[in-house]
Amino acid sequence: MSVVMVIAPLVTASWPIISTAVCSAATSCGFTMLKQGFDDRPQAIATEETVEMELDNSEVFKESLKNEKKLEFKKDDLTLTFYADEHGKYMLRIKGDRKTKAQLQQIGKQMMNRFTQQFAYHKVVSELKKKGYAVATEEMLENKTVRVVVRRFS
Amino acid sequence: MASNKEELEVLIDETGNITIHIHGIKGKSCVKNAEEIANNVGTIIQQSFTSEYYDPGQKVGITGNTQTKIND
Repeated sequence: MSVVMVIAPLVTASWPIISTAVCSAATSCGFTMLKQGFDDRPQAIATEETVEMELDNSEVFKESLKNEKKLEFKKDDLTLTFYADEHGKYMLRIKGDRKTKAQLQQIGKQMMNRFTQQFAYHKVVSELKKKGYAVATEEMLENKTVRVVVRRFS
Repeated sequence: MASNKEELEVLIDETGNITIHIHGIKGKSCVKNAEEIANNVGTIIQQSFTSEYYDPGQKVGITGNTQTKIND
């Protein structure tokens, strides 16, 4: 007999934890961090296409809203800006001067997925360790699924 | 007294959905533990009890909400 549970992760954590997962996801996709700090809401240059996306199932901790914060990354002509908005949601802004809106939306979706996967991995492994499980094996499958086997003895 | 081994297989797909597979259940406490972990991580969108898929030379692969047998 076995049990299977499928869980949709809720992305809710303090800014330091969120920013770690965002940095990990962005750098693994070849982006370089430009800066981090307060969100000064830069306006897009007229020639650049810009797309803004909301991270599904996200909730910003209240302390994150005291000072609007952001992370900015660059890769070729693309600029990614990840920030917490005033409505308590995590947002991603993608700018690029050689991409269509549809291309930017596709890149944004891939980045959101990558970030959510990173966040979910760190969150679930952390919760398992709190329960006394130790990681036995860990691998990335061909379909980009992360597989982790944990064990504990009672 | 022999110790009891609990093993969980966790799969995190590319959209971030998590599947926890508890092998060889020997008590309700193991499932309860997994449910507590799941509720701290997000929302359980599917939970099912299945007959054990394991037999020699096969392993179970789970992606998203589907299950498939993978031959080695």
